[in-house]
Amino acid sequence: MENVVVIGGGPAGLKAAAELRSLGLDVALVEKAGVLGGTPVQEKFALLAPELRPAEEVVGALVKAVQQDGVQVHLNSTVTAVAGQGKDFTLTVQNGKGEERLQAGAVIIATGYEHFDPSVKPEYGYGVFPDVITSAQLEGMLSDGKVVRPSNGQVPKKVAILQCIGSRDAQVERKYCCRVGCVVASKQAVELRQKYPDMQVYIFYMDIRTYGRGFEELYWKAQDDFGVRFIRGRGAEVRRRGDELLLKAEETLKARASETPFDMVVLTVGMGPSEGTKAMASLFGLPVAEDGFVEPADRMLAPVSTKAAGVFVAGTALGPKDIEDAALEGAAAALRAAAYLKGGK
Amino acid sequence: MAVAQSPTVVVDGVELTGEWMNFLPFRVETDPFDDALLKETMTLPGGESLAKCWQCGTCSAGCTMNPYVDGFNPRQFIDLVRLGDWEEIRAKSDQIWRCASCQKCTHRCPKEVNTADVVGAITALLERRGVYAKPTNAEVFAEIFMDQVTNHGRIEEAKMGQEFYLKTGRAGELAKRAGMGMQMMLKGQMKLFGGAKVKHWKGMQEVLKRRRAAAGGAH
Amino acid sequence: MAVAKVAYFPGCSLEGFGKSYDESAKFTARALGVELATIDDYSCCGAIEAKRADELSSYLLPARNLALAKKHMNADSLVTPCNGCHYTMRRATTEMKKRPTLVEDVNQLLGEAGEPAYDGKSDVRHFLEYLFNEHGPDAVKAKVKRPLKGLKVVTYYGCLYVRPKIYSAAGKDARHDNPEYPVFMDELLRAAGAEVVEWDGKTDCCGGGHALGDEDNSLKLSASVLEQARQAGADVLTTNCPLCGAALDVRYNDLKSRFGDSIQMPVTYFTQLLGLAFGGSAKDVGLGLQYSGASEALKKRGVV
Ligand code: SF4
Ligand code: SF4
Ligand code: SF4
Repeated sequence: MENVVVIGGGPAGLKAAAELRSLGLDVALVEKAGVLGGTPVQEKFALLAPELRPAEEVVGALVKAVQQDGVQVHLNSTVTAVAGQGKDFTLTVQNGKGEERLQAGAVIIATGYEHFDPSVKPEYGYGVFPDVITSAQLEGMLSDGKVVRPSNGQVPKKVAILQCIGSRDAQVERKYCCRVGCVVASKQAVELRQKYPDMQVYIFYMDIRTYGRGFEELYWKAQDDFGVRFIRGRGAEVRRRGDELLLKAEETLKARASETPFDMVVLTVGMGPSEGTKAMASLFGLPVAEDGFVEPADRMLAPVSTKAAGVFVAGTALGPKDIEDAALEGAAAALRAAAYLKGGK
Repeated sequence: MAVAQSPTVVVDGVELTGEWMNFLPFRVETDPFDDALLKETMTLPGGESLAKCWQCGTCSAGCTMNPYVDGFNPRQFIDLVRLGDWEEIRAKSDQIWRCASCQKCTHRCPKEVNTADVVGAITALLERRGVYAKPTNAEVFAEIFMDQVTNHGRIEEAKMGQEFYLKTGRAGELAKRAGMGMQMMLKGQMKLFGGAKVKHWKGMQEVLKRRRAAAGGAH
Repeated sequence: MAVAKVAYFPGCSLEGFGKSYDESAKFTARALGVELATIDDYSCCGAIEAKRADELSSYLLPARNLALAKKHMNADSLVTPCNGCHYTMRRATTEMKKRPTLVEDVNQLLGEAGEPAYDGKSDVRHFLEYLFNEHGPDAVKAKVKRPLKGLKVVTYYGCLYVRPKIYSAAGKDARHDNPEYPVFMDELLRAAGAEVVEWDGKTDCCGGGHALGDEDNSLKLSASVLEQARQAGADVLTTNCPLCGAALDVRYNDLKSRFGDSIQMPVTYFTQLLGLAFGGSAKDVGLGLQYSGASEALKKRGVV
């Protein structure tokens, strides 16, 4: 049977579904939420780094391709059981109305990531002080066109962005880098300075890591053209003094610890495997690595294949990455699944 | 000090040529990285995790002693040891031993450095290399403490205080505090005779004595 | 009422400066139907001094006590009210679980000393954490005879109850307290009717470790804690650590003469407040042993 079920309707899953259709296969797409687009849509991403293109434009195009290409879309649905193997899977899918069964010759898991919950690190005051927010929340505000302090509804005058919250941190058992936080922070700082030229924006970092094509250039732009201040020191603690937040951090190049008042503190939160990714890994018996993400058959030689025949994986279920790379993996997984069904391996 | 060997030297924007320029010192350090200090510190108890540090500044930013002691900066202590900068470390010898052992640094270090213990190891390095003319107060205190543990199995805080003031040559302050001692005895917090003693302790006493002797130093 | 027995490690301080903590902890436990049974012939945990002298001794000293608790009381876990002991012993148990050869080395020494061997499995819990988990706010509420109504309290946890996470396991699950803003004391005292006042000093360092070594800075750290508590508008500060108690309360007169009225703040142990709420007398909870005017402050609020 030449039918593939794609689990997860974010950039990786959307791309996989569209590519499979272009190869002439039947595709069902199962998405937990009520809309397609994944985290970028649910969390209302504003502009995408590094080109500063509206997320809507990019993700919208991916969604549209799927809708136009005759992909059978199941919204508000989760896969709860799987039977069979080889090229004959039966998936039980739970939706608001009840259960249904989907047949599949191959499965692509693209269940994505979720942001680190910074209340696990109470030293940053998230959940205690309203003006401490996550990078995802800031993104939502930028999308809505107004950035304000949750405490009083006013535009903040001085903002600190703290890097690597819930990334590169043995204390929370997440040693890996989120790979996008540095470019996202640079982008958000640029957006803030563009929108509010009087706002002071500081980024506290350990190293600036700008992996993708054009990422480094955006980081330069933040420094060169937008006067964003980069302070080399990991933020250690946020307290409140009256109406202000006090950030404790060391400017390590100066060897001076400081307490700096800010109106708003943004935590650039890391990525972890989503609940869906954990659930699918255990449902399909896929190994997960020490970082919690799905381990592919071979990171270099078979990066979107898994140990289970007929089960492929793509996107942030495999680890942190940007939208470009996630979509690329979706396409790769589509190709692998098609080849598998055509009798290849 | 290194002597400049290059044919031209620019000092404050002015290019200098001629033989005499050979006497000008280089302003750039030659081969400044020396692993010896790092290696030595890492062999001392608590120093094992030193090399893991990536200099993020989380420890120093939250450090309890930083606001109280000028130049007290655990991140920088680690950096200097790692660079092998003995002169700078030595110059900070009167700060380093003042670590309050509050553990905030170790608590938050993202890189699994046991920062508080590393600071302790750097203090031990300074002691070992004979930087302190006389034992630091912290060292005296630790020794009195371990003497009491070794000999009796438990310590008695008030007696420790007495001994500390005597050993650090501040009998005057002890007299000043006698008032408090009296108050405490009346309240029964300090025993007049005997004090805290563990009954079955002879064997432990021998073992501890031996261990301390083998560990060397004044401890 | 059936009385549960708990292996209790008071530590050196509770026989000295922390006597009122010891008395009130026992009283409070009894009221909740628990006997704190002191480990027979226990010895010092080694504090932070032992590891300075000799690494292995810093595991040997805790191991002796853990082995005694197992041998005499068949206890796999012991409870200590002292933050210092809590740190030292959890450091030892954690490291020994991680590095089995340490247990062998320690047992070699214990054998030479004629002491029982340690099995490497024991657990150490802070008395506060024990109370919170095994009894909790509801059990406290049920036993209250004289609510601490109108009493404004700041809870002071000090350093080593939550720090460092790698040993305390703070924040790891619901049984362990919040690593930066601990609340177990808050909740127990609220259950006893007190008004718990928010402040920033909960886990600041009192400087007690350097009370003698670096007296000047140590006094400044203590003063900062008391000052913040005063500014928060508390009637009393209450703590779960005898070393903090010693630094803040036993040194109270020194602090007062140096820093004046700005640090005026009566210091109590949380077990004293709970004990009073359970109907205990000032004497039952050793209130007379405090130096910083706790009795007067509590009288003013009608708690004693
Ligand atoms: S990408 Fe930047 S913010 Fe994200 S973990 Fe890496 S260094 Fe930190
Ligand atoms: S927190 Fe850890 S890694 Fe960061 S500077 Fe301090 S010791 Fe080094
Ligand atoms: S343990 Fe020492 S170095 Fe670490 S935070 Fe406390 S005072 Fe600073």
